Amino acid sequence: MVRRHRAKAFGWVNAVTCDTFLAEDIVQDALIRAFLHLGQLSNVERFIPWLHQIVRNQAYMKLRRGGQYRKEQPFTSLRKHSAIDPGTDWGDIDQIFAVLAKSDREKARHDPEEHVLNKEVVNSIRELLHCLSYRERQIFEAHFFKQLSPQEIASLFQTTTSNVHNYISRSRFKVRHERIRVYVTGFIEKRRESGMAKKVILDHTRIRF
Amino acid sequence: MGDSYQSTLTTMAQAMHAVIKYSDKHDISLVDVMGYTTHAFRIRIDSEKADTGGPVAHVWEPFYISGLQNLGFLSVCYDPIIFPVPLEHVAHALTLIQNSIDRGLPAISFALNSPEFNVIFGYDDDKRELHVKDHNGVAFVPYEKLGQGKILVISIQETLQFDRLSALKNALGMVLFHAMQPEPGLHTYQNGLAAYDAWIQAFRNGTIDDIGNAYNIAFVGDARKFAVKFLKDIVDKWPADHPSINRLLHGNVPYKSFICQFAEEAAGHYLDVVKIFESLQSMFPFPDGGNARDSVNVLNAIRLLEQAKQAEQKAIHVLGRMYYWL
Repeated sequence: MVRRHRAKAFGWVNAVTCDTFLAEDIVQDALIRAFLHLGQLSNVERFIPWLHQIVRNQAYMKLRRGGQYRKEQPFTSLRKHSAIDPGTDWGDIDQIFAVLAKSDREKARHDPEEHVLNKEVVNSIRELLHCLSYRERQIFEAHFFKQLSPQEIASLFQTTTSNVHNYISRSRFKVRHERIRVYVTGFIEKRRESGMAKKVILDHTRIRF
Repeated sequence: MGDSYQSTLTTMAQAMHAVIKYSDKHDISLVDVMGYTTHAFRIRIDSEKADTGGPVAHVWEPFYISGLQNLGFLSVCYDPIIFPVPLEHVAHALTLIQNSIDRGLPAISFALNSPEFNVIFGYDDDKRELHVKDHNGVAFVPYEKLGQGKILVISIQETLQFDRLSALKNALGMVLFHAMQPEPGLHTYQNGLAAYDAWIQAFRNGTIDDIGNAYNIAFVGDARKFAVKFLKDIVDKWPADHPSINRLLHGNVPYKSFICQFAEEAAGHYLDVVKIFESLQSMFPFPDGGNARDSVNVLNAIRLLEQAKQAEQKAIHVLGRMYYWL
């Protein structure tokens, strides 16, 4: 049952594209988009259908345009050229990212710039998730990538739905916090590179409350 | 607080006063700040709970910019009304803060250490900390805090010429509008004379919040003490060599006899308001609260609030006459 759930992640993308190579491209784009918006979502329940929509739109766009795959063959003939190891456990977020990063390197031949950009984004998303505890990441992945409902997650991890809700909201908070921390680090580095002052402290004795 | 007028519950005015001390107009008093920004004359209350949100329910940016302009400062007020805060806003806020401090002027912010306005007087990139002071004292706040909750940054950019008479006229215009017209902001909170009606409504409904009620009594009572002093200073402390003294106003009437007379009279009405609020404060002390639902308390409170409203109406009438003579 767990295996079946884990396979779901790419299930509905495959349904649209019939092309695993392209499918993971689409999922990667969707993931990136999802994370960029994650801190701004006020209603977690809308996340999954929204992610669905993004992935669907991405898939249709890529198919319609043809893109870099327009000369490619359908699914079955591609499989033997695919970078995906059949033993990949799609339930493990690190493995998903490793596969994405690896296949991305192969695509670098087509578009080196996009490759660098995607790699950076994917790595930064990976780092963000590391701010979560192992348990939090498991539940986070289950909810956001495998579209399991809180009830399904609760039975999967043998806990209560209210616990699952707590984990999810805490994780969202932590990930947002982490994004701010990383952003501030970038800001400070830019200041340092521009040679701006590092520390200025005025005399506060004039301030009386 | 006593009668020293060095400290007010209106923490924004306190913060503005603190920052001004670093400017070329460092002799501006807290009474001047409370008066010319019009904080001393404000009241904003919701008709359900009379809760603590009243004093910050208005739209911040235009009001704070005008207030500082009245004191002779050109400022920037960064108050993005988006939640959660987009990340690039954090950079913008930090840039404003650091730029201000680099120029020797602290910046004003909100809720970095306590749910009040505060002053940022230092920054440290290595420790990623802001040095902040508020009514709780000094605190070191991580830069990241700007990305959580509400961002506010007010920074003085330039000093302008300060003319007492036009500043007074502008302030009176703001006071009159606040008293008589609905202001933009959270619409469940009424402002000016209508705030008294809202307050009475909250008592009648039995939905009034004890802490909110006591807080607003302390807050408005404190503000009106400054209103009294500000108006009295117009009479007592207007500089003897100020060109307005011998100026003839509309109808060839000397300043002294008209403006001072109005100021004195309005001060008297606001003093009545102060005394009423002192009675209310003995019934509902802050922070204990007292019991705002007790039927005897409710009757007395409504009676006192009605008296306060009448006194304010008289004051506004006098200030209105004063405004048109300036």
